[in-house]
Amino acid sequence: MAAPKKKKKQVPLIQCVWGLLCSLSSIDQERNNISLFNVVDQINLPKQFFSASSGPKPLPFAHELVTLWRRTIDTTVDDRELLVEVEIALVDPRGVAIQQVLSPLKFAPGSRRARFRIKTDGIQITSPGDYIYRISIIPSDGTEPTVVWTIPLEVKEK
Amino acid sequence: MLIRYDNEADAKYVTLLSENQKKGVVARTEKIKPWLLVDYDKQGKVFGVEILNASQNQITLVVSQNRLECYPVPKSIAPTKNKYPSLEIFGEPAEEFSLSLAKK
Repeated sequence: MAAPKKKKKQVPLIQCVWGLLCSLSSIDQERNNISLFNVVDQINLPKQFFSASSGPKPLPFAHELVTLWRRTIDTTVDDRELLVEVEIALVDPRGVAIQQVLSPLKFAPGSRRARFRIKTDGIQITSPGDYIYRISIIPSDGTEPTVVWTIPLEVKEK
Repeated sequence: MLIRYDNEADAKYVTLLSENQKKGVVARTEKIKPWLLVDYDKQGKVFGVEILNASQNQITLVVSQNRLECYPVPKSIAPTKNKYPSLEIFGEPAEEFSLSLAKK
């Protein structure tokens, strides 16, 4: 009996080079450089925050998620416009995605890299522990997303 | 979230549930815009979003605690050559739609 045919795995057309959380980012319009201020990987909250009531709580934590993407195929080989759907999910310590952002990310012809910034005024948190911003590329054929980057965020009781 | 893109029809369907949760059958469809349809399951929960003429109607969807919001994709996504394009999702949801994911 012939072995079942394996479905061809799509090679992502773009790659996440880096991504992090910070309080503020600023782009120098003249030089097109980005400056990141107060890079965050942990937030400390008083114990009363979680003991008040159960369930998700809004945390007024203004921050930005900044990522840099690049084409996996060089523009000298393939310079076509690329349009990729990117999902950013905030996953709580139980592994539940509590916030999801789905956005198209377009690379114009000639563009080799792209920045992607999301600013948010707060998040919903369920408990102290390790949260993750999970960044995925979503294929257009209905198959499961490919996780390309994760950014940890520890929520600590103090 | 899963996406299925129909190249012929230029339509995009976004399912808000993962493959193993996708047991619901679309019970009702609401037309938010002529190009934007929202499907609900039998319990009245948002099941998926269909975007018609998808290449023209590019939007950012945000799903959080019982809310589904829509942001426009900024024009800065179309960059000048040799510069970093910068997609920035700042500020309040767009006027397109913002609706509850909770039971109706």
